[in-house]
Amino acid sequence: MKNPDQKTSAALITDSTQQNDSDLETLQKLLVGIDREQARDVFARVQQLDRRSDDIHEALVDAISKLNNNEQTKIMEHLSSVAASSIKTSIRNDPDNVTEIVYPIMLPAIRQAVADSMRSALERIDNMFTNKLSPQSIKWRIEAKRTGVSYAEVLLRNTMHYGVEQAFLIDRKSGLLMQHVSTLGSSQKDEDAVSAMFLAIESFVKDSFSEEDDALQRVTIGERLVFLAHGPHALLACVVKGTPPSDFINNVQSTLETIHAAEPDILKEFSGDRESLASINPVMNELLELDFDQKEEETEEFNDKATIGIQLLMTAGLLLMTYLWFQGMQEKRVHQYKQELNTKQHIQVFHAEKREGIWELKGIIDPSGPSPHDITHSAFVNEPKVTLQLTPVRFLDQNRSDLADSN
Amino acid sequence: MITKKICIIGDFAVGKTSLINRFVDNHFSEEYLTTVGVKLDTKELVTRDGTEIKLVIWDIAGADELTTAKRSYIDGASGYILVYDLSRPKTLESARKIQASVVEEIGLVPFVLVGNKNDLEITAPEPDTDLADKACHQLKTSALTGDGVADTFQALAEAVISG
Repeated sequence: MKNPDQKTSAALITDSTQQNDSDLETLQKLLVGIDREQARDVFARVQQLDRRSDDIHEALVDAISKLNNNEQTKIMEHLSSVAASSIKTSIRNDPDNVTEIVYPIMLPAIRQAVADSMRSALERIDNMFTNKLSPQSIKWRIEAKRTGVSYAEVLLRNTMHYGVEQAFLIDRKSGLLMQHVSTLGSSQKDEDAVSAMFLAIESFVKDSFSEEDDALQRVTIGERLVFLAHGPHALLACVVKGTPPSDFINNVQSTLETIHAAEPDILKEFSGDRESLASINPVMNELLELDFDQKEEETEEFNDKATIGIQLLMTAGLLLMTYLWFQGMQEKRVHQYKQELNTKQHIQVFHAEKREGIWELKGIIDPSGPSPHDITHSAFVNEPKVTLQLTPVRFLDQNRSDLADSN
Repeated sequence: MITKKICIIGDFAVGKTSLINRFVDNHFSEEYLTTVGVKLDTKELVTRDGTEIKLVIWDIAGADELTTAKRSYIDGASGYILVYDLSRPKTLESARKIQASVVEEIGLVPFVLVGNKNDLEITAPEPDTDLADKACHQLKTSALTGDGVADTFQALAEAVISG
C-alpha cells in the first residue's frame, strides 16, 4: 500500500508539470502566437493534397499569365509531346469524342474538296466530248498510240494551254498589295488598286451570297481566270489565261503556305512597306513558270527528236534487211551455180565458202572437159566475186553420178 | 515607298467621290460604287519629312450610317476622311454616327473631318468639340473649286505616317 504523503507528492509534481505546460503555452502564445497559427496553417496546406493542388493551380495560372514570348515558346516545346500523347490516347480511347470535335471543321473542307473534284471532272468530260470527233482528236489518238499513253492524258495535255500572267499577294485585312509579279508590260492597271479591288469584291461576294467561312476561290473574266488562295494573313490571287489543270489551285495554295512559313511575322503585321517582303519574290516568280505551253513546247521538242530517232532506226533497219536479202540472194545463186557445175560430167564441186566477201568453190575437174568459165549461171550477176579452186584430176569412171549425189 | 489604306466616308451626296476625282492619279469606274459599294483610287504623295507614300483610297458608297457590309471595307485602314456637307446640317449628325461606328470596327486611327461644298451657302453648324477634338485635322473644302482638297489628303498622309 502506498504512503499517502508520497501520493500527495506525486500529485503535486503532476500539478506542477501541468502548470508549467500551461505557462509555457501561454508564453508561446504571447511570444509567437500569430506565427504559430500561420505555421500550423502552412503545415496543414502542405499535408493536405487538395489544398496543395488549389495553391499550385492558382500559382500556375498566375505564372503562365506572366510569361514572356520566349518563356511561352519553351513551355510549349515541353508540353507539346505530352499534349500529343494525351490526344493520341484520347482518340484511341474514345474516337467518337474527337469526331464530334473535328466534324464541324472537316465537313466543309471535305465538301469543298468533293465539289472541286466534281467540277474538275465535269470540265474534263466536257472537253473530251467537245474534242471527240475533230481531226485534231484523230491526230491525238495517233499520238496516244505512238507514245503509249492513254488518249485521255494526251487530250488533257493538248487542251490545257495556260499561262500565269500575274500574281498578287494581298494583305487579307487591308487589301494592300504585299508583293506582285507579272509577265505583262507596263500597260496594266495600277496593281495597288487592283489588289484592293480583289479584296473588295471578295468581301462583297461573301457579304452578299455566302456564309462567314466561305471564300471566293475562282473568278472567270472572259478567257482569264483568277484563282484565289487564302492564308491566315494573306490572299494569293493568280490571273491565268487559258485552262489550267485541275490541280493548279493546289500549286497556288502550296505557294501561299510557303510564303506564310517564310515570313509569318511580316505578313501578320504588314506595314505597307513592300521592300520588307522582297525575300519572297523568287517564290512568287515560280508561279509565273507554271506554264503548260512551255511544257508542251518541251514535249513537242522531245517528240520531234523521238520521231527523227525512229525514222533513223527504220531506215537503218530497212538497209539491214536489204543487205541481208541481197546476201541471201547471192548465197542462193552461188548454190545454184554450184549445182549447175555439178551437172557437168567433168566437174565436181564439193565445197562453197565465203571468205572476205568472195565466194570460193572448191572441187575437182577433169582437164579433158570444157573450161568451167564457159559455164556461167544465167542468174549470177556478180561473177568476179566467185573464185573456182578446182583440182585437175582424170576421172577413171565417167559415170560419177553417185559422187555428185553425195554433195 | 510605303503604301497605306485610307477610306473616305460620309452621308449620301456629300461630295466624297468629287473630292477624290479632284485629286487622284488612277481611278476605276464609278459604277463600282453602285455595284460593289466601294471604288478604289490611288495617289502618291511626299510628306514633309520626305517619306514617299502611296494612298490606296477606298471610296465607300454614302450612307447615313455604316452597314455591316461596309464595315468590312474599312478593316485595316490607317486613317480616313470623314465628310459632311456644309449646306446640309443633317449630314454632320450622320458623320458623328459613322465616326462612332468606325471606332467600334477598327479602333482609334487618325481622321480628317471635312466640311465640303464651302462654295455654297453654309447652313451646317460648326462641329461640336467632341467630334472636332477627335479629328486630327478639320478642314473646309470645295470639290468644285478644288479649295482645300489637296490639303485634306496631305494632312491625313502626314497623320498616318506619324502614327
